[in-house]
Amino acid sequence: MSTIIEHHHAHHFYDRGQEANSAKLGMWLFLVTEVLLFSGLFVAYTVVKSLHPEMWRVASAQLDWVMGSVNTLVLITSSWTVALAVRAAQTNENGEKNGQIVGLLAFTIVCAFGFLGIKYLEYSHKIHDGLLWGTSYFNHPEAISHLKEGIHKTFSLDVPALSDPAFLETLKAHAKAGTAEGQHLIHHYTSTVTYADSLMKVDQGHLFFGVYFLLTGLHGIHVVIGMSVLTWVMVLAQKGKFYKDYYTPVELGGLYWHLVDLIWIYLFPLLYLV
Amino acid sequence: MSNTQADPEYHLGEKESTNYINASKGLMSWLFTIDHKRIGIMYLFTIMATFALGGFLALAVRLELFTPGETIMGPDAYNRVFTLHGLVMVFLFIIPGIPAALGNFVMPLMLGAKDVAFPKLNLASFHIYVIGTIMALYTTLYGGVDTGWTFYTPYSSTATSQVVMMTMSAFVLGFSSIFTGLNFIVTIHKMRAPGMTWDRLPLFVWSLYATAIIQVMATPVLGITLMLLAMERIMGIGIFDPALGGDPVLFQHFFWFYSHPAVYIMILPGMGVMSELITTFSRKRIFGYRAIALSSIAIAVISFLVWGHHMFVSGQSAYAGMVFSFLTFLVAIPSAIKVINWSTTLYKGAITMDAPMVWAISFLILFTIGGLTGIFLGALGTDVHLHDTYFVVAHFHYVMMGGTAMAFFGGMHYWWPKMFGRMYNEFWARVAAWTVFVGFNVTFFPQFIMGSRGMPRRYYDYLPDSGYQLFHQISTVGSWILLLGMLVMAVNLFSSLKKGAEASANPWEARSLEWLTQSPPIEHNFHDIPTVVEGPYEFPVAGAATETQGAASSDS
Amino acid sequence: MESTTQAGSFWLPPQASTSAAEVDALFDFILDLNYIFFAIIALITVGFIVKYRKSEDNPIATSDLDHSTLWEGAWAFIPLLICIYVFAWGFKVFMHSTVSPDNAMEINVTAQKWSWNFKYDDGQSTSDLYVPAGEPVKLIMKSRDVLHSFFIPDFRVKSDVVPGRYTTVWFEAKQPGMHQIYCTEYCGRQHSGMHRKIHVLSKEDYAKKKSAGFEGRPEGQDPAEWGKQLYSKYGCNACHGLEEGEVKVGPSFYGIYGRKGETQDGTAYVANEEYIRESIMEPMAKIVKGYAPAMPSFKGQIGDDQMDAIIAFMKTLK
Repeated sequence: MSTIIEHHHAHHFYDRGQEANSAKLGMWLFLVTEVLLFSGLFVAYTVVKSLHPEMWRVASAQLDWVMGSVNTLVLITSSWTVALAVRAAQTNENGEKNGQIVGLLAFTIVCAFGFLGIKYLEYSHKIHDGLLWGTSYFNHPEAISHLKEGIHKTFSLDVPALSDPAFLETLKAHAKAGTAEGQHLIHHYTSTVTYADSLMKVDQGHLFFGVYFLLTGLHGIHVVIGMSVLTWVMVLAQKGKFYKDYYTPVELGGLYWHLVDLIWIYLFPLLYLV
Repeated sequence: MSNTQADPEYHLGEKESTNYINASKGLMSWLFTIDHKRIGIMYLFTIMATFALGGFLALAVRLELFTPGETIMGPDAYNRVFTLHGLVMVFLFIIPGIPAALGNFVMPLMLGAKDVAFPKLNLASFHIYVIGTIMALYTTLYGGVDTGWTFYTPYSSTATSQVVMMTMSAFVLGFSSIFTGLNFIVTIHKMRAPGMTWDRLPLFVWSLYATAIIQVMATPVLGITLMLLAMERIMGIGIFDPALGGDPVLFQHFFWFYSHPAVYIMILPGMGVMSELITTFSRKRIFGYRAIALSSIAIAVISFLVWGHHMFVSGQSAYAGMVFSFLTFLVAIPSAIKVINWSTTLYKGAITMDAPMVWAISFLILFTIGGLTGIFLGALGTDVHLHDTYFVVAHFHYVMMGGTAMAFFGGMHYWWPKMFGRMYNEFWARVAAWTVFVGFNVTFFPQFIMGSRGMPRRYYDYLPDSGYQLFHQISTVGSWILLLGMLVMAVNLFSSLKKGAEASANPWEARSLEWLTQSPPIEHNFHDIPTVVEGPYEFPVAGAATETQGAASSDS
Repeated sequence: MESTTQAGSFWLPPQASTSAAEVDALFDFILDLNYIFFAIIALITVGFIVKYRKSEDNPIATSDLDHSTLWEGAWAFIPLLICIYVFAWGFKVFMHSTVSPDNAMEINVTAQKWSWNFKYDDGQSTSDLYVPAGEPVKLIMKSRDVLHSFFIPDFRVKSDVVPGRYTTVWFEAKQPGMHQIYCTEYCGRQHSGMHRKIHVLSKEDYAKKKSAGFEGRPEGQDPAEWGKQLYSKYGCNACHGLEEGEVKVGPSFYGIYGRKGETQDGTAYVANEEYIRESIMEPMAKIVKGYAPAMPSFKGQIGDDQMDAIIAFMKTLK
């Protein structure tokens, strides 16, 4: 399809320029509301993490940072392609770039599917291991033992020795006495106290996973919304609706997608890397 | 392009028989309209209905409290009734209130625009509002909620009532508010008539702008708060419930982070209406235009910083209490500036006490009382005694009802002729306004005294020998006087639709652009967009060399 | 109510604690500010309306005054100064009422739907609060379930009582007397019924009563009579009626002793002494069929003597 369909601005606007500028301002305002929506969850993240730092460290070690990184790359790529799509629309003189717009948008949507696919894998692992929120977590005692094993990974410690209260007492006595042998032991088991605390706090693991699922879940819903919007824009692009004098929906859809990407760029390090 | 009211040649010409009301007929033409005026009217009638519902719930509450022990209902019913009263009044009446019902209609006209920036989004706002309303009412059929409109945890996260359904209704309603705010900001930025600089905007528009900023920024936080509460109930996340490792006070922080700015969503538009009424009915330009305009923005910004003053005794740290108390006193100053500026506007004016002005003066008196009593609550030392007593109930009714509701009714009367092309009966309108003023004070002033004497709020019952009964009874009688006044107002307004005298384009001889259109306006507001050459309050002054014609002459 | 025999002022209850006067002084100052500023605004407004009424002699505005830096500045600056002053005063009063003296006597408070429980350092617990006059008392409070709030109007003390953490208030009662305690954070059905009394006793009386047990059986009183008082005192009356077939939240106590019935899971029960004791201490153990699991536990609140009295009372309900 190498033709364009002429766009007529709505009657309450003077001209296309006013219409396009209004639409853009409206979209930016909407993005502000989305940021504030997520900010509530980021506050919840901050509060839970600062109240339960040991548990947090152990629980977040359960996340697969490799999958998270791949997802980050996927989303960044999709942001790039959607930006290219906007550019194509901006320079579309007579419909010669219709195919390009459609193709770039299609690639963006495929990336989004990829993102969701990896998320599906992650979620199913967590569900299988019982690493869930709230009451569901407490229904899976193996989740708790899973985390306890994870403590070994996190602290690189000798699990059996340190789950022996008598040994812990010895360590504490050494610390008090300040002997050279004691120093050596303490140094070797630097995270002892933290470890002991972590063992106790593992019961709070549902708090981490609650925040994890809420944050990534809400983000996932927005990925789906973004995909729907971009699909709709893609269909219209196929018909030749977008060209240099009118590409607002492509631009607005792109803006929304950039926000979805940006939110993930905050989520990823906060959940997976910290 | 024709000139504005400043142009002595300007006149509207013959009144056209086709206006926005009769331009198309049938229910569908209203339900699927994208005309901001029709949307405003639909909001107006729906909001009047929700106000009536909230009012009847209040009458029931007051009737129950007439005597100690059970009067007309048991504690479970009472707790649901007062909760629903709060929810309906806050989310269905006062938050949408003036912006949706009056702002939608008037604001584009005031700007010299043909519609808002996003007319379809505007329609969506309305339908979302209706859906949210239906959801809330539906919830009450299934047992409703008894948590108070504030949904404090862990009671709300553990009680057996329809908390999830009700919070989801509020969540839906939040979208309506956000979309309206978004629409208004873009409209005000992008659709002003030529020559309408920011310092020529009517102050009503400034107030809607400040309100819209809060709507856009605060409401999403309510959304996430309610979602978290729902997830807490459904999934047991454990963020608010100490039994699961959470913190109940965290909910209060989340909740009030929205709900404090929300009260400014409620009052700012009312203040905007005040500026219009005071100027028109004293036939004088506003005193301190810039101060009032900037005060609205200042209030919007500072409102985000004071939420903790609802939580001085919640267990939050004294340090936090100190910071919030200090900032709370700061937010009072812009409101004080507005009040004195309105009073000063009257100086050497030519004042008529038409019905809208009666409402405006009511606002001035009652909002002043409400605002001043806020000082007791902002000060840490006295708030400890007064928090969660009837003193607080009286304070917020004085500002929300004595303030916003009075402004709403005043604005409704003021723009009624423009909306419907009919005048209501002036005598009965004044009777209604005065009756409501008296009834309001009889209802709520005793509550200050009861509260400072220790009567707690949200109480189904009180001890017979506590000394509070007399105050409760006076308050209940006051509620009947309020009912009477409201009924007179409703009958007057509704009957004017059929029987009222035909209204001219500018019955008040006001100077803002909406009065340049006919009453009711044509569908597209203006045939030719006017060019603005002066501010909206350029009333003639004796002795000054000003034009004598202008809008006053444009009778049609 | 008995405690207002010495009347307070028009606006405020009697000053029964040593901190009350301080709070009231601030209240009175703010009240005066209210009166003054209201009068100014009202007089200006009404005055101008009367003086500048539109008439034949005054058809249009006679001034185009639309700003005055001096007037507006003054109205911003002076209220700001007053506000800062009031803020500072309020903060001072608040710090005084928040920070308890080091030597304060500590009493533990537990709130639950819908009753209060007060525990003293000797381990006894009561359902009303008993404090000595002339000595600072600090309450360390927590909730067993939802938010409550502890409020004594006559003392000007209030604090929310939160589950999962401790909150505190302190006060020093000036002289012997009795005052009202209210719950003032909405907590459900019987929120307004969750009131108790605080008994201020002279130091000698306090010591005497404490060693005898504040809420032991009054001398010479019939156990069943006492049991009936406890039935009200512990709030049982909120959920259990005494009439035949009366249903509030839980079953009626009419004919309870010896009653046979079925629990939720179909097992039979007989309401003997053991059953009654268990139902009060572990209400979730046997829930009568057809009723909601809504009863709170009174473990740690009802002592053996009181339990016997309650059972004696129930035996009289035929």
